[in-house]
Amino acid sequence: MDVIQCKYFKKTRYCLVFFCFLLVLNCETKQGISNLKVNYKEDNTALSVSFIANNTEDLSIHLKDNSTAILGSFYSDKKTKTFTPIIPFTNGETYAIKKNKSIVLSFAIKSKVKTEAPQLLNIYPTVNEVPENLLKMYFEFSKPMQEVGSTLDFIQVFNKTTNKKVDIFLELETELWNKSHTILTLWLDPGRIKKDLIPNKEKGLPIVKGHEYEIKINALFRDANGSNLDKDYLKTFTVIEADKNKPSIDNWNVITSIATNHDIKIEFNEPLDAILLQETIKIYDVSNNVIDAKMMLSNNQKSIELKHTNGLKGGKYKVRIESRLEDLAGNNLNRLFDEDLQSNKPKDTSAIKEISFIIK
Amino acid sequence: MKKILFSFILCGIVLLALSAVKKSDNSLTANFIEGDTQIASINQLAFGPEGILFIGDSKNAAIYAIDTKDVTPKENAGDINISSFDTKIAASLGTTADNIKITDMAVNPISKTIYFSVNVTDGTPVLLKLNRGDFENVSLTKASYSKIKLNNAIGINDKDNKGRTLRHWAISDIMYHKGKVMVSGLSNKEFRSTFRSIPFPFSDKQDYASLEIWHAAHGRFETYAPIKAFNVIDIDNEDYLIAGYTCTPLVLFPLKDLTENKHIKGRTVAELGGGNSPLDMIVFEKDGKPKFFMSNSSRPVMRIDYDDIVNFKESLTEEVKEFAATDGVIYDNLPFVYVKQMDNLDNENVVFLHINSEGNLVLRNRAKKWM
Repeated sequence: MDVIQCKYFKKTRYCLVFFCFLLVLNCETKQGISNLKVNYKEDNTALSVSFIANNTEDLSIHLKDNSTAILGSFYSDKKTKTFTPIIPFTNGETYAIKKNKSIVLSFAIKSKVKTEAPQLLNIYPTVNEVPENLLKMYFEFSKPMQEVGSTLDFIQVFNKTTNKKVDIFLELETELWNKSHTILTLWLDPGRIKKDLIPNKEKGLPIVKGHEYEIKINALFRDANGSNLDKDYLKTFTVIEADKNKPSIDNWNVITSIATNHDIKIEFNEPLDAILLQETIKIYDVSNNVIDAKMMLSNNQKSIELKHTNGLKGGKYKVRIESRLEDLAGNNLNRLFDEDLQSNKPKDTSAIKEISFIIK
Repeated sequence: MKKILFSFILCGIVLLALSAVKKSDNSLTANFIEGDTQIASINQLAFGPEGILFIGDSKNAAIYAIDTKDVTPKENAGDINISSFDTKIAASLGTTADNIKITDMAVNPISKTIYFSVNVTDGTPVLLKLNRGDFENVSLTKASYSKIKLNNAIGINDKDNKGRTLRHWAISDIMYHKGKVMVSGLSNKEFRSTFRSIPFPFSDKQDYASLEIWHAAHGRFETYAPIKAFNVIDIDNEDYLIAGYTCTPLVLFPLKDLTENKHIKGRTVAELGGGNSPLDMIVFEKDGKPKFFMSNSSRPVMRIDYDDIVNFKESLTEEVKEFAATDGVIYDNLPFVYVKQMDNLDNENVVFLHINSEGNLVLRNRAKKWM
């Protein structure tokens, strides 16, 4: 009897296992897809989606409610299929896996891990009075900023004297950013700055002497991860007389002091281009070796300070300055931005200027 | 008998090897390598011969030549009219239109396939082609390619104190012409332009020219204005660069003079008005004569007759006295505004990407006879 019962029990068990197997098989056939998993990086960048499926024929991935299939590639590891889109899935979006155009399964992508909001660190020039022929402005951000859309959509200029919104910056299809996409260069329309050119005659100067302007950088401007600026930023400036003189090293002062361990300060008597300053000035010793020194802009770019690692010894030194260094109006050490090259004045074409100084 | 057979086989192998060597020596893609291009940005696209696509990468300061292998000839591209084009591209990338930027468009003159470069928010570049209304990814990580780094003018200090490279050239236009890739660029610091002529297939050689123009109105030379879009014009069997500048003269330079470190004076043939930056310049023949078409950031597409350029012999130097006047070579404004991208599609059509009156970005063809 026991033997019969045992045989009966075994048969029942086999039947149950077989039934369950059929159920699973039936379930997979009906659903087609199971065990879906989105593969995230640490910052929640969604690189791919994996799931169990018999094959990927007729399968496509879509933005939910969108008929366009997303470009990417399927990879198979036995029954596990992985779809990697050519760019990561967008955080916060919902996607659908479709088979023969019908949604089989949908999945949502988590939000990006919150990071510190980007800040606008500096707007150069930092002075509050700029010449009427100001050529360009730099906007330095704490993080790489978005590489889509037009940045000028987030930067508005308001003439506080006339109470009107104005366009002063030249719109360029290829925006001028540094490689890490943290510093933006905007030109004031050069054609409008040059007297008698058609743009100047049509629209006049971009900024006018005696007027006060306010630049607003909208907090909706995003960084490369999609985070908005931490706040709106405002800069107000007044326009003064046009600068029609080249910067001249004859007006510069090189100051060293025992009190500051012979750190070097160079005063220019006028604000110069903040970015060009950082790459056009070097100190050399008497043997023409470059002095390793950390440069800092000071006094609204009217001076720089060079701090060297070990302190300078007594002796002769030279400051070498590339002639392409510009003032705020684009005048460099050799020529005016709006120079009459037909004049008979002798032209300075030297690439480097030098100032010698001695540390006792 | 065995010796004869062996000799035949040997001869065959030698001939095959020789023919292979000869083929690879003559091929434009002989020095191409397979693999990851590591392209960091795509600012400009231009097709050369044999389906080779040139890519201007400002971040890497380099020009890449990609063998698209897209060389099946096609006569007519067929009609194109795709609205909400940015939304469609974005959807094919699994995102929304505010997360992408179409940076350039170029048509393969052999297959008539249209290629697009697209940036996503974090700057990742994507290259797509349009195939029967659907987008296909053109891999930049598994490609047959060659590249050349752009020479920079040398300064005292190309890096700041944190070791970051400060100097950066934004590639504003590229074009393949008679064995050379020509590249214009804008600086993100000094207000000036660079123009390079690079022999292709790439070697170590590249010419870097300094171009000087003479602005109308104030009778002053400029050595530092930036070229934004350019093309080539044949005048009396001599090739000239026809350059559209940012503020906005149209200037001719003899191409034969574009050699290393040479300072070339251009001839300003037109002043095209202000607040504007040229975007694309294309040329095609109409009634047996070339016509030039220039799209602009804030003006309509301009049509300029070849004869008007050729017959304008002087250089603009006189002051323009009347408000809103233009000077020099005359041009017609065509009723196509906000044209963001433009290229020759086939013998009968151009293709352009424009924002229509409803604010919708549309890709469409237009018969050349109606341009």
